Amino acid sequence: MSSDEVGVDPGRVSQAAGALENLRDVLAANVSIIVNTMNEYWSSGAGSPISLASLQQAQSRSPEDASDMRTRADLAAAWLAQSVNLTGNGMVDIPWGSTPAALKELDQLDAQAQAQALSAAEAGSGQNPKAARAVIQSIELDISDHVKAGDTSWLTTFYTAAAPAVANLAATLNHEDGQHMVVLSQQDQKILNDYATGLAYADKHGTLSQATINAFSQSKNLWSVGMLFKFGPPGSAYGTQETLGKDADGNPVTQPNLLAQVTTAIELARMRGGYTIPLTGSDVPLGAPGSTEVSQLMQEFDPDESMLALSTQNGAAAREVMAGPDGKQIAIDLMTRPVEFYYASFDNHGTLQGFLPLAAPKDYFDGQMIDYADGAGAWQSHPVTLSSTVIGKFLDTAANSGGRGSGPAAYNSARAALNLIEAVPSPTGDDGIPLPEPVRQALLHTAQNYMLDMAQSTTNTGLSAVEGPEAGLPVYHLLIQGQGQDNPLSTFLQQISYDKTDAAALDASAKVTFSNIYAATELGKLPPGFNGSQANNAMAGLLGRIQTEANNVGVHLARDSDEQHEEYNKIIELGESTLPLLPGIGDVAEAATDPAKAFLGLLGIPTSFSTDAATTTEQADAQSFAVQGIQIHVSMVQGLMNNGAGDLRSSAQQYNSSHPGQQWLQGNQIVLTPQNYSAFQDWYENLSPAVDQKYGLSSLESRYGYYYNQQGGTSSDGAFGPW
Amino acid sequence: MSRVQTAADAINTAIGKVRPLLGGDTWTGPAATAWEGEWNSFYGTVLGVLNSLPSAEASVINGVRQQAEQLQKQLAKAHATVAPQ
Repeated sequence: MSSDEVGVDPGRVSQAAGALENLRDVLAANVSIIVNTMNEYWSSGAGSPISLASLQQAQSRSPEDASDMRTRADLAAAWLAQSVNLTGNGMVDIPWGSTPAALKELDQLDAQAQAQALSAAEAGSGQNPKAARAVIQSIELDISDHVKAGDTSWLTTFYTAAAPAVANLAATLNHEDGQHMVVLSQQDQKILNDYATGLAYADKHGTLSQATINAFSQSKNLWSVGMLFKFGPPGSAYGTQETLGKDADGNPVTQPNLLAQVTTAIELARMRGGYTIPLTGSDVPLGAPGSTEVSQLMQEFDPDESMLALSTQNGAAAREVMAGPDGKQIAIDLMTRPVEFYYASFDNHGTLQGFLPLAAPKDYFDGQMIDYADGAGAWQSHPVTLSSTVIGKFLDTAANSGGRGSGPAAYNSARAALNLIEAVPSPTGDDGIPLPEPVRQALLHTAQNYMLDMAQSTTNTGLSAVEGPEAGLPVYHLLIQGQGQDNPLSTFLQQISYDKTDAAALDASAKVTFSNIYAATELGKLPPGFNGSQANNAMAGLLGRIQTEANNVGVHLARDSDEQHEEYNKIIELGESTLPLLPGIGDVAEAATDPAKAFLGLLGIPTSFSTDAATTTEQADAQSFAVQGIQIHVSMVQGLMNNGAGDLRSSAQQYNSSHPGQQWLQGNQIVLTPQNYSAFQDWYENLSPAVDQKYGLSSLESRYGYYYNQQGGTSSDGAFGPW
Repeated sequence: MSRVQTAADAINTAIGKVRPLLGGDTWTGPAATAWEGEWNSFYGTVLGVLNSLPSAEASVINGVRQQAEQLQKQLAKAHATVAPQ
């Protein structure tokens, strides 16, 4: 027995801890009353002040006294139960913690003892479920206390030692009382929440080893792990570690965090019966009557959708899941097989063990939320469709939330975007799947975020890859396979274009981006090293490719007035959202120290887009004035003025001032209406030759028509170019 | 003043609930004995402060009373000076 060890009576030490906790609370509630009241009186000159410092010192030290004594009590109780260091007279020898180092040792020993107690409780749960639950709840309180105290050290030690038991906790709780159509009771869910909250705290503030993470992501009972997370705190409570390692060839590889690894494991498992939802008992209906109730319970207690939502909330986890080696497969599964079937599973004795999820064949999914429950025989498979909103947000976050740049988040988003693009199914043909709106939105945002990358991919005959930052393009960027039959770039653009509104938004985004790069080129504002003429040619080519792929799925952007109206509205909308990104204005001026952001800002490339598509009120007005070719002129002029083309702006201002009632320039913004449209066209067609030649407006077709036609000539139905 | 005394009594009671649990029946060993001695000594000082609060309060009340009496005298004197008019 070392000088720091003390024989303690576990019961009395626990009582002492309780009394110290009470003293802590009483001091917290009353010291300020005494100090404030007396100081108030003394400050008026009445009476003779006495020192109240010891009262304040007592309040200050009392939390630590209580916490240390509780740790001693917990350790003593755990060692008594585990028959460790018993002295033979009901006393247990424990380290007292006289010094900071000894206190730390005490803390670690307690965390390890609690981990062992949890494992023992789970092991003994079958024989004595009440006793096991009492221990589990006692440790639950202990975890909550350490979370409140911000005790990262205790929590990290506990979860490192207890990871397998914590991973198995939901299964244990289910076995204790999971009968009569109750999978996890409200009390079970509360317990899981507290255990998961501690895990999240340790993950966010400490460092969980890969071995600890493996205990969750490689658990034999992924359902149990999933429930721990489902009923735990939001995804933002977990760590967002996002670092890049290197593979054998020195290329960056992502190292996913806890949430990402568990999400990946569960997403892969749901495709192939990788876990069992333990809805058991003789009263579980296995026939058609009651099947709906079973389906509802499957939806409630399948962790899959929750893991997607948690990873989305975490951000880094969504990026890491989709950037990882399984990212493309997960994206394919989510987009093409979002319907889950649940089949009853029995042991050798014919006893129901629960229900296994299996992804339904993609034939069951037609781009809409299907209601298969009414179909004949549907009760046998208990179909549930994953929320397309949850899927869409997950994919969107993965591909776009990292921003464009040269850091790990940007790399992961770029990889996620590439995996997503390569996973997109064709919207047409026998195996075609037109994706639901929330998923299409994720694709559209990805296209807008990686617009220049797509442009530079239109002529790429090689395989897709994420390219590293380089001179002239200092951000991670995509090189997508853009040539060859069924190439991923074409399929991706076709899927977006399958919806007329999205097709128009895509085309508008491309025109705004092209116009901004063109304007920056003309005005000499391109970042050093950036090849403007190559980018302009590529963007012209992308416009042609978008036109072609829209035609391939039956949407005629250049010919159909509805699409033109939508596109014009989008151009106005995007023009507004682009403005704050230009040099010297708003974000870009403030973020001049961020090379990637400044770079994109200089190009006038929007890095975020409004998701508010409330343009319907504009559409009716737009009917009478939208014509072929107007959009590129609007975005070109807007881009030039945004980039400081003073003479063009002066000309526009002068024209507007002489045409009252037909003014299309408001401030620095072009706003067309049926009343002023012809005035804009009149001004544009009669620009002074000097200004026109300076910016090359009349020669757009001769300069870029080749690149446009190169991408659009093969399958275009004869639509005009945008010039 | 009753608020101060109520608060002091609550702290006094809470300290009193801890003290019987510290000692030989709960633990044996020099490290615990040393901690217990330090704790008792410190809270002895705290109890001393709590016990001195009644006299401090009395001192405040006396002070206020004296201030009031002095003010009353000054007012009476001022009134007597003005009265002949």
